[in-house]
This record gives sequence, structure tokens and C-alpha cells, in this order.
Amino acid sequence: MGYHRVNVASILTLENISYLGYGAIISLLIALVAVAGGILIGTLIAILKLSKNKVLRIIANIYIEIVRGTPMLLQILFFYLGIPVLYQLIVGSPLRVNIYVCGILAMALNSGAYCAELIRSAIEGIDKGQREAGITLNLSEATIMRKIILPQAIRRIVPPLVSEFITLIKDSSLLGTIGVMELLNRAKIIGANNYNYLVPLVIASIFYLVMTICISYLAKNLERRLAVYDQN
Amino acid sequence: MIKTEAICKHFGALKALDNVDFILNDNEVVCIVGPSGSGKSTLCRALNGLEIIDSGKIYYDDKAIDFRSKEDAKAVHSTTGFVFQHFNLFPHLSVLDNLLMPYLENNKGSKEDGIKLAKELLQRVGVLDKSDNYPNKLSGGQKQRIAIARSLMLRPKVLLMDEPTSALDPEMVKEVLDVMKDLAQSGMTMCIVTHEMNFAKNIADRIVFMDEGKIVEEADPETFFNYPKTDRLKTFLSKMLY
Repeated sequence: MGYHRVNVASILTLENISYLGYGAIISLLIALVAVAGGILIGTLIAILKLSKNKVLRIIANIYIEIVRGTPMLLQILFFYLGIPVLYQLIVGSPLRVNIYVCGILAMALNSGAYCAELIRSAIEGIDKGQREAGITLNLSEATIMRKIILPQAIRRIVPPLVSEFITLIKDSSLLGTIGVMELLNRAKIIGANNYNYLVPLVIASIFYLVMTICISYLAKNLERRLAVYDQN
Repeated sequence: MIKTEAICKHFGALKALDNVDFILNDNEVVCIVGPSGSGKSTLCRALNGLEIIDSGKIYYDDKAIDFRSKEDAKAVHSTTGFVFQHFNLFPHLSVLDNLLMPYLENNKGSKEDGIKLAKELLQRVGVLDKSDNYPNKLSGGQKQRIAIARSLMLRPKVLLMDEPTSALDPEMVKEVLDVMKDLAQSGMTMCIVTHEMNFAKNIADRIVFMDEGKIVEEADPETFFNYPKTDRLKTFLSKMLY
């Protein structure tokens, strides 16, 4: 009885690598849609949190606490396994859910809570004199927000938003648990087929690193361009 | 032009304004002086609704103004310029755009007219060559002169200035005071909170002395400096002047 021979070359085929590369693209797209949704939801929640209405502020706080206080994996499973049950309880008929829709929705709602805090703190971080100057120049609240506060806040939001995006690329691997064929899930499949997890996991790591490092680099360039007025 | 009747403003337990009756007449230059915490900045800010008063009345041209009403506030803000201690220029806009944006947002005229007026005003305050710069590249004196130019873009009838030279390095103070003097001499109605006693003496029509949220004494500069009536003003002047 002999050990199974480890054969690296038989795994490093073009087919396997492109299979993983396709998974990387899926992971990236999932993160991209999720972060876009997150920014949208986050803006909405941030507006609620900044509003003068106490009830709206409490709603925003509850949302943020729930999302940040529970694991993302639980949230994903809730959407995939929990919501259909809830639907059947209420409506009576079964609900067929798409794993991509469920997964991305869960991630976007999760990201929304984090983005809300980023956006809120960036807006609140703008010196109050900026708003006052706007008031004395007879600008409406909406104009002050649009022309004075947001352009300055956006520049502050970019760096933390990029790390949020990178986090989402990595967290998209959680969607493997509900069957989404993203990068890590594909690596595990190749590993299982070849009785060798080492090689596909290393390749998957390289794909993850290429994505995150490229994004960090692009973000630095973007920051520099946005910061034109800060250079003394 | 502006009149207040018994206005009060509290910050917690602190009485920042205590039954203040203040008048600013057309074409008059009034300087408000007093020790720190005397309420002079609060008064200046209250006149423009940046602080909402707890009680009392503020009149602009005999019309009572409630700054909690958007219409009232707009009526005042469209005819009043305000200059801050810390300039509050918009750092993400070029100098020209700092002036142009409020003009265009207020529908004061075409972009061409706005640029023309902005350049005239920048010329007047001596920073026309900085039009395309961003504020962070400029000195404090330049920033404040630009802020003054910006406050004139809506062609205000009155200019409120809250310690416009207090945040400046000493060597920058004069260039800003020169601009203010030029405005005063052109007949602009101005209310200036300041610590610059000599400046107040030279350009003010009237000086108002505040202490502990009250107007303690007011007079023309000659009387104010040479014949102060109250002990509090005498003490203040003896500390301010060598």
C-alpha cells in the first residue's frame, strides 16, 4: 500500500487555472455589485442617522447594530435558508431563491451598515464653518450638501471605502457555503478532485492578492487626483 | 438697517447675550469690542442667524426677522455679507470658484457677469493673481481678503465681520485692515467685532463695548477712548492700551 503520489504538474493545467480565474472574476463582480449596493444603502442609512428626527435615527442605529453585531455568514444563511421559510409562513406558497441574488443582497445589506458609518463620519468630519459659510452666502441646505459638504466628504470616504471593497472581495468566499461558484469554492473543488488542496489554495491566494493589490494601487492614484486642492 | 430689542442667548448656564439692544444705522461702521467671552461674537452671529436667539427681537429695515423661518433667513442672507475669523473658504474650489459658486447658485446673473464681478472684487482686495489657486496654497491674509471678496459677491447692503483679523499672523493684519478700511470709506454699512483698538479708533463711527453679555457703553471713538464713563470700560482700556 503506497501513498497517493502528489503531482503538481497535473493540477497546474490551463484548464484548472482558467477555472479559478473565472472564479476570481465572479468574486470580483459579486464584491463590486455588493459594494455598489452597500454605498447606496449606506447613503440612505447615513441620511437617516444625520436627520433631526429621532425615530429615523433610532431605526438607522438598530439596523447598524444588528448588521455589525452578527456574523456575515449568518446573514447570508438567513437570506438563503431563513427568508424562504418566512415567506412560506406568511404567503403560503414556497419561494424559490437564487443563490446569487440572495448572496449579493445579504452582502450589500451588510456592507450598507459599514458604509453608513463611513459616510456619516466623513460628513460630520467637515468643519462646521463650511456649512456656516454656505448659510451666510444664502445657499439652501441641499446646495450646501451638494456643493460644499459632499465634494469634501467624498475624498475622505474613498480610502475607507476601498478597504471595504477589498473586505468584500475576501468575504465573497463566504458565498461558497450556499453554493456560489466563486474563487475559493472552485479551489476546494479542484483540491477535492485531485486529492491535493495545496496547489489550488495557493493559486487562489495569488488571485486574491492580485485583485486586492491592484485595487489598492488604483485607489492611491484616485486619492492623489482627488487631493489636488490639498497640496501645499 | 439692523436693530435688536432685548435679545438673549444662553449656552447652558452661560448668558452669552443678556438683553442686548443694538442698532446699526445705514452707512454706519460700528466696531464691537470687549474681553473674550463678553458675547460680542455671539451678537454678531445672532444678527445673521448663525446663533438662534432665545428671546428678544431682531429687525432688518424695521421688519422683524425670525431666523427659524426659511424665508426670513433667506431675506437676510441674500442682502448681508458675513466674514469669519477662520475665513471658511471652500478648500475644494479654486479662489475664483469660491466667489462664483454662491453667485451662480443665487441666480445673480450669467457666468460671464459672475466672473467679471469676481475678478473686479479680487482686484479690489489685491489677490487677482491668485484666482486659479486653491485656498490651501495661500497665506492667512490672502485667504481673509478672498473671504471678504466672496462676501461681497451677492452685493450685500451690510457686512458683518466676526474678528476678521484674530486668526492672522501679525504681519498679515494690516493688509486685511486696509481692505476693511477701503470698504468702510466706500460707504458700506459694517458691524465689526474686533480687538484692533487703533483700527476701531480710526474707522468706526461708533464703538460698542460689551462685557458679560451686555452692552456696557457705546460712543464715538473720540469720546470712547478719551472720556470713558464706566469703570469697566476704563479698566478694559487700561489693559488694552499702553
